[in-house]
Amino acid sequence: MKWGRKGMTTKTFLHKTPKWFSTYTDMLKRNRGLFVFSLVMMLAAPVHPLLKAYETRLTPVFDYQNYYYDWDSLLWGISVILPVVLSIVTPFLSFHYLYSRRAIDLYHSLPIKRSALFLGRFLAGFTITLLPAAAGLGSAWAISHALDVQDRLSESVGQILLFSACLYVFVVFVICCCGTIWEAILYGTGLTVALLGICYSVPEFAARLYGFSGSIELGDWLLAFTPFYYMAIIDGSWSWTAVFPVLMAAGLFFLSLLLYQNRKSENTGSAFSYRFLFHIISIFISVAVVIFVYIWGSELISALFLGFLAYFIISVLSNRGFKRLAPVVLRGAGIAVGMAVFILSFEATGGFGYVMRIPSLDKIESVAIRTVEAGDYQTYARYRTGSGTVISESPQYMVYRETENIALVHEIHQSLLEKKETLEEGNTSLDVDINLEYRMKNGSVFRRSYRLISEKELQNLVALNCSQEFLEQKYPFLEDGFTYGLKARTAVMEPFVKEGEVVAYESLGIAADEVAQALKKDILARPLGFETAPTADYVGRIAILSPVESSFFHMASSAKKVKLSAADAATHWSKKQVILIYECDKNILELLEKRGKLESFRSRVAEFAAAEQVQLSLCEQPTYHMLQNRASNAGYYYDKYSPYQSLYQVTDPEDRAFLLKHLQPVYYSDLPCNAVTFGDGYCFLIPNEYQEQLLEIVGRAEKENLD
Amino acid sequence: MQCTALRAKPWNMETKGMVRRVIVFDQVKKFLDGNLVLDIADLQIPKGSIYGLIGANGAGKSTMMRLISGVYTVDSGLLTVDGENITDNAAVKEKMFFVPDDPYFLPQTTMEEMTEFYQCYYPDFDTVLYEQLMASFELPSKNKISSYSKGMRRQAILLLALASNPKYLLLDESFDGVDPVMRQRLRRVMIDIAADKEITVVISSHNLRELDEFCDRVGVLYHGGLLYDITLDRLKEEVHKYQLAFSEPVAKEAFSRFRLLSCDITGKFVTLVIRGERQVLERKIGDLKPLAVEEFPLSLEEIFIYEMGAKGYDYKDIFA
Repeated sequence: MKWGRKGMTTKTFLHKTPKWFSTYTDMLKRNRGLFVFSLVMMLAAPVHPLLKAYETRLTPVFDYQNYYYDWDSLLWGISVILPVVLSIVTPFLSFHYLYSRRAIDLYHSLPIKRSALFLGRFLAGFTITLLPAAAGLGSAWAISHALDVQDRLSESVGQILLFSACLYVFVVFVICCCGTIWEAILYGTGLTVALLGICYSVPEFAARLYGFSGSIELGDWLLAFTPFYYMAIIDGSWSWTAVFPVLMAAGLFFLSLLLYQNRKSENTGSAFSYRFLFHIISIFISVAVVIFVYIWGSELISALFLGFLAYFIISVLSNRGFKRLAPVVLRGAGIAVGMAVFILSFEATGGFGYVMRIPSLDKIESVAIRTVEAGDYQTYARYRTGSGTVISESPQYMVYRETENIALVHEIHQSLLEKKETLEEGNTSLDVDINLEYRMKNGSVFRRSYRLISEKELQNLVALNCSQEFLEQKYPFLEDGFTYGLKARTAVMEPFVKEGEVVAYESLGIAADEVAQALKKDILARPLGFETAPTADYVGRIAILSPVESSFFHMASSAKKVKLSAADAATHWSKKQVILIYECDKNILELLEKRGKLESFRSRVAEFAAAEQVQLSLCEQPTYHMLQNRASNAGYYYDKYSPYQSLYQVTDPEDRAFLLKHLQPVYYSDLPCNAVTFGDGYCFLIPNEYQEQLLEIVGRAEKENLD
Repeated sequence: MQCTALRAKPWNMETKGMVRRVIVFDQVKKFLDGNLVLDIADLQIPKGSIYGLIGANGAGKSTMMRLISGVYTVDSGLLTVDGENITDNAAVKEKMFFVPDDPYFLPQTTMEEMTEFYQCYYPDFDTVLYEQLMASFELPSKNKISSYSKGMRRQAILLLALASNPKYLLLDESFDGVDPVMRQRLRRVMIDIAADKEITVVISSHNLRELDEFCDRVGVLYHGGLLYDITLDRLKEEVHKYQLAFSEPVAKEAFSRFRLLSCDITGKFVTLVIRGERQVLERKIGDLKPLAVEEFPLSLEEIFIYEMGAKGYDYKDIFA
């Protein structure tokens, strides 16, 4: 019998196709079921919310809130979880043969270069993971825009896709490192937990250093070197650091390719495809365990023991039993000792000299300072807009370039270092976050943050607040040529409420620039030091507001509604102002009178004076009223005790008149002052010199039963 | 290491230069888990030959197959096929098909799908030959391969291997599990096709009678080293079995002049398995003045057993 073709052989049509592409199409074909299922799931995800939207819109009262949450949660559930699950599962489908001796005989004897085989299967898995996700997320995005519905998904499509892509590459990398599926799952999980543990523990560890600045930034930076970064910014925010995970993923891809190309088939079934990977991964996980356990509340010795234990367990698993126990124990002990030496020396030397370092005065170009009530972390300090504009901390910082002001800040810094021991113990100090940012003449930046300050530093801060530089930054309209533009609004604000909670109760209806011009004249006419201890009677508050007043989370979409770019919206938002008006501010009061708004403006204070009774509570101890920042114009005070301890009914008109005369909505002093809160939460301060009278008023008032 | 000591190969160079060598091992070493499992200083497998690899379990046969097929890479030395390094060389591998001892098929696939799979990688895949073979061996092409019996799976991979039109076919104990009738048919078909298409076949098996039937040449592996690399005819010419009868009982020392593989003395009767040229041996035996001399033919299996016995790989030693 004659076997096969005769004469010249005819090559199959596949001969012309590159082999990586044949591999790619072959794998897609074999996994078409999963591909189609994912595609259908992702495309179907928006259908239910769409129907729900249609149904809701037919009803007489459109329940936007419920509709929004239904839409959002459903989309979020399916559209986020499925790509993430796929990015974990498909790498195993692509490279399952690496874990089977039989399968590897087949795949590695095929006439295809290792790199081409890797590429074909990598891309096939990538397609199965990302194409359905892209299609589904794209359709969800299109539908949400068509329906004009805000949802987290529309803002996060990019992050979800990038996260899935990075996670996919990470899993492929882990697969290439390990020799069995069990090990891949184990060490993949271990590495994930260790990476996240490091990202959250190292900044916390660094933050233990006295004066350490930038925990959040450090956390962000560390996270940016992991595939999990996009999950952290999945609220739709972007920054240039978002490029790092992509670069990392690209690096991991090439590393995986390299590992794959040189991987020995016979290592199938071993714990790791390369022995050196065992050392890297096991040490990394052990170190992460030590840091994590130590940071989150355990003694160093326990942390070291658990780190040793982690290494021991990994080694035993990797060695497939208790073989080579002595070197394992020695290496584990070595890691524990190494970590102990590092941690102890780090702490003993103040982060290897970090704590006591201070820039020399002659090298400082400028210094920015920010004070924030401790615990009241700035809600918008790190927010980013949808277009990528970063609202940095700078609006909240007061920048000083004058030599004497720089010297004042430097003195504060030096004093904080001198009192390190006392302040660390938390004795007789004010609970205030103080952030310093030096710009050096050589262009470098030097940052420090402190948690507590004492009266000495407060005196210098008050002196800074009396400076011209402070004033210019507090009121943006004092800058030459600055305009608010037509979009900004003006409003009359509640006069007594605590500054951080101030709300508008009436639109002023006067152009922002006109108000700003009047205020500019008044503020420049005020005597120096007026800002810290006003010498005229208080009239009320006026605000120049950003046209984008919705939650900062949705600044981008809010900006769109008022036809502003996100960047412009951010500028407006940072330039908004609440200005305290006193009887001495003739220009603004004249303007209000001219526009018929003065009576209304004064009415809230008049109401207070004319009220039959005023509920009052008094802090049992005098409090420190602290500094303010430019962005919110808010003052912060420190309460040693809750100001709401007792509630009194002040009925005597003379007492109310006294209170009205001496109250200060803003008062900066290094001396304690009295925090007085009215019934609805209106809060103001009365200098300590009037404390006796205040106590008499309280003595005459009727005490209310708070229960 | 043991294998270094086993490099003495008196006959492996006898035809060097006469036949074109296509698979060449040059100082090749392979370590697994830190142990040297293969150490072949010099081996040249000629083109178009059917080369049998024999050896005890763990001798290194499968490792050698995986090295030739490129599944494993050599740790030192050079392994070339057609003068080219096999490592990650798709062009060389395109001419090669490796059938491992436990073949793997893609999950849930049929023969048709496996054919499509191999067509992606073997441009010379011969669909006509495939159809002929499928018809001849009556394998159900639309059934899942997972539903095949072990023997059928062996047939399936051999058919795919032959249809892929390789120039080098590596068969690692590939006929195991196939029934005797089918085994015979497969062998014949394989020999036919190999002869027709000048395929170089490297085959390992524990069934030495089978190898005896169709191998041109054999390599005997022992503890990772190559004991012999020789044609079967030459091997049989070099190892002889004689039965001698003497007038009086003789001592073993009497045969110290011979390169003995085995010497069994029962009183006046002696059975010898000896290496050497027949004429020389017969002259030496004549010098001992035996009453009677008779030579018995040796099969490959017997030669292998005697050779292994001489190296200490003997059931007597196992139970000693």
